[in-house]
Amino acid sequence: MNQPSDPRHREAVEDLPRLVVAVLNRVLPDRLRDNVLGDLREEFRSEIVPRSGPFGARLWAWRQVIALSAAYCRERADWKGGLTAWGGDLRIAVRSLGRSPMFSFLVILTLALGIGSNAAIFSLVNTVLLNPTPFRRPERLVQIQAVRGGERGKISLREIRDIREQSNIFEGVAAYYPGSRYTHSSGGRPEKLPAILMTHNLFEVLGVPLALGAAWPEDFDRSRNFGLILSHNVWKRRFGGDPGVVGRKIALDNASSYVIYGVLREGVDFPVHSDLYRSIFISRFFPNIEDRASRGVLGVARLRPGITVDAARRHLADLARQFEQRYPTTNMGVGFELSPLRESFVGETRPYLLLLWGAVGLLLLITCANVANLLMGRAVGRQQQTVVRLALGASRWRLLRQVATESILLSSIGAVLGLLLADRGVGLLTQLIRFELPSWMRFEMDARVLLFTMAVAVLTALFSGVLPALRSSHGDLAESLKSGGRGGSAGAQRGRLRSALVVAEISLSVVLLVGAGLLVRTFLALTESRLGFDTHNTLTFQVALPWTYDETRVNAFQRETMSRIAALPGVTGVALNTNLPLAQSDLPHQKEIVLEGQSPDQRTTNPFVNVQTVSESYFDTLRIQLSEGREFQPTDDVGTPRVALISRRLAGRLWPGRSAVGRRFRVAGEQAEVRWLTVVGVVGDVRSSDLVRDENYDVYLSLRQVRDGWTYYAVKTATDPHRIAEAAAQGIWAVDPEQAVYDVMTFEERLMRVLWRRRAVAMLFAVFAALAAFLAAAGIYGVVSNAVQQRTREIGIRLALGATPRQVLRQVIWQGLQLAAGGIMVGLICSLALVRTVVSLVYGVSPFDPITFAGVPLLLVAVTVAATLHPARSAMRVDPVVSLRQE
Amino acid sequence: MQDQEFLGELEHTILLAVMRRGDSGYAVSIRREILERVGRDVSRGAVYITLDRLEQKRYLTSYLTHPTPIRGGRAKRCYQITSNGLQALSHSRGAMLRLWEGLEGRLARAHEPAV
Repeated sequence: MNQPSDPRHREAVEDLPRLVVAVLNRVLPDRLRDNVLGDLREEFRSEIVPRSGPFGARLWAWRQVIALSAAYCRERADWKGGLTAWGGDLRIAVRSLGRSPMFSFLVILTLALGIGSNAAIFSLVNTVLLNPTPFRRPERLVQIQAVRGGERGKISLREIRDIREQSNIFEGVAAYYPGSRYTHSSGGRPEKLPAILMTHNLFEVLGVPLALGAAWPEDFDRSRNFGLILSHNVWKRRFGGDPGVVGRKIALDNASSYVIYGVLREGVDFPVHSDLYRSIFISRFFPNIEDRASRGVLGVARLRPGITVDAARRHLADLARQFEQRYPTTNMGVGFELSPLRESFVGETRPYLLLLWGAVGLLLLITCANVANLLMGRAVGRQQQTVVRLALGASRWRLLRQVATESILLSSIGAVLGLLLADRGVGLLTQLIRFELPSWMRFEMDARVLLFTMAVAVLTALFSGVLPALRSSHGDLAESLKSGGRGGSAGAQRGRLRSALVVAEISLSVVLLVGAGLLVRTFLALTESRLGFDTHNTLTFQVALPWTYDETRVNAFQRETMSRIAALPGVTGVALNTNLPLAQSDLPHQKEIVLEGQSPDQRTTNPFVNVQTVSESYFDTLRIQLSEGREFQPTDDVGTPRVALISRRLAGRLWPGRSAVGRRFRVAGEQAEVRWLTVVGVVGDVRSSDLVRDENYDVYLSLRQVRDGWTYYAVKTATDPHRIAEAAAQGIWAVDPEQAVYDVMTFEERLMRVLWRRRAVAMLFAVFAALAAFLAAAGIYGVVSNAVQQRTREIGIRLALGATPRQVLRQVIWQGLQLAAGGIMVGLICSLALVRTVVSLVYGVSPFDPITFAGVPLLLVAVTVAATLHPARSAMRVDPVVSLRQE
Repeated sequence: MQDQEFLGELEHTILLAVMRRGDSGYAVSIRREILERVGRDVSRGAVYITLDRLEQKRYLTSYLTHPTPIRGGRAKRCYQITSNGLQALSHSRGAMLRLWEGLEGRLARAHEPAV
């Protein structure tokens, strides 16, 4: 991405960081808040940024936060006498942490990682699942689709009208068709603008008033018209924000009859990034608007107040049954599915996000256990100090408060660092996201994230601080002085508690490692799965010719560009497909078919099919095998009977055990008898959009018989396909310089885009699991080296009595392994119980994958041995004479 | 004026800086005034807290200006000294001067080169 044009970047340079403002909003007293923020912003913009640059200015801003927070905290502490005692505790805590910088560094780093990863993942959850949409009462908005045989598909305009007229549970029902594009040429350089087609009432249903003008009249939904609404962005960018734009005529794709009816408000966008909103009726898309089977749009509706989604579902099910009886030819077996609108944006991302949230939750527990462990290890060294203070009359409460203050201080510093880490982390996380988000979904650390992080920090302080605090406020004077603060029953008890914490850490990291193993293995299985076609060395891109081009012109353009690209050096094949595998968005492109001689009843068993119009070279170029009949030939042309190829799965489903060649069917929604298609061949199955579900039924038509100006080019090359990208685009422009070449990608890149969620989750899970294993290792190290220290005398005696250093080494490592064994056992049992939460996301490997379930314990054993090696070596080197004399 | 409390050192400094800025002093310009005249970089938080305390003691009054874009649409709080403030200053100054009486000579000696 080009940095300077990134709006986030520009904003960051011009304004105080959002997080700074959010923190100060909490710190400053109400009366002065605005003035102080104003002062800061003024200095920031007029002096600091020009003098120190963006990075220096950010640092400056954070220094001001620290100075102001410190000043106001002190002020409050001074005013409220009760807090001064706490201030004293705080001072002691700061000093005592300063005295052991290595310990403080370890604890704070652990906390920052634990809290930071939680803050980062929560800010994703916050943006995607919780943040408000720009729509009024979004919880009442639903999406409507048609369903047949359990498969969701688009719905017809006529059905939308029926639903609107025959039900009283909706305030409004609108339809839209996403994924269009138009070229706008006047007022600057030509630009292809993304567009959607919509009924007049779409924005009324969504509940967002226009900034300018009003939607077109209702009859535009049923006849050919050229109504247009502009996005706020395009209005500013291409029309200079002219308020007089409403009513103006403009040209799109060289057709000059479009009339601007209105302009959207800033920040409004539907369904994802669109610049133009055009009246829906286009004769090419809707040859017969009254045909209920011509299903090409998506519905969006607003429920009346008090109507639940479930009630609406039942109502639509009733309606679907009535339609089946009234219109059996078109509606037999067709139902309607209704889902909350937010789900249509978030869709499949939700389970992945929740899974990640769970993972960082576990990581936080490990963090807590680890910090508790470190604090307890430290308390050992202080045992004598504690009992002396108790003996001198300090109350247990006083001691408890001191320890609690220390852990609150630690987790606060951890939280601040964690937030800074998360701020960076969110930037990296958003780079993993590979699909278009609506413009109102913006990733930022808002007040909710801040509040969540504070809550996490408090909980962390509580969980990690309580045990050590309770333990260290107890102390038996005589016992402690006798044993020199090391051995004794209290020491043994503490040792057991610390061991229990380490066992818990190990078992939690087993759970995370198993999860990571399954997700990584799923991702690998999917990248290696058979797609049914050859993705190797293939460049793909789209060219969408304007609808004003007639058939001859489309034909000439495609033929000429194909031969030019084929002639490029290194190119071994060129093919066209209107609906290229892996190139589709998440929307299904499914159509219904009717077999010759089928009754309406029998038709309901037909599956939805994926219709692709291709050039003759398609199967050869992508190495899709022909298993029966023949491929398309140049003789299959406009004048000859229409032919089709179908996939093996479809042939097996429609004519099981018999030959499909010679059979006839037609695609529903296309009326006349001449539209019957004869099957001339059967080809291999291809996975086109969803690699996990195997549900494609493919129908291929010939581009010679069905003209379509919107096609993908697939260019097979002998070398790196990126190298010919420029030359291929030149080939297109040589024929028609007006045409944009977009969505340029190799098939391998498309595969990664389809798998982005799995890839991102597998990567993050692996990172979190590695972190967990690292923390567990640190825990083992802490406990074992502490034990070695405490038992120096015992080890010395044993060595003096004739034990070999090797035996001592083995004994220490064995102690670590005992802890690990306990943790691994508990962890494996927990993993087996939790495996069903990931089972829906695991594919291609068993949820009880033996490699994962055997590999994780082995890995942890290796980690344990590594962590105990250092304390074991130092135990080996104990000098009996020295250790005994020390006592 | 028996029970009048004495100004703290920072309070004294800030009241003088407010007077120097005329009617248009606000936290940023007051801080800068102190930095330029005295060479002392008073912390931002201390300036706000002291200004607020002086206003509560009625030594200062404040008013808000129109919001400006460079301040992100936020108003500026400008401070003026009140007659109470002037009295307090004069009281503190008098006390200091009385304490200094007869001691200037010692200061002069401090600046002589040591032999």
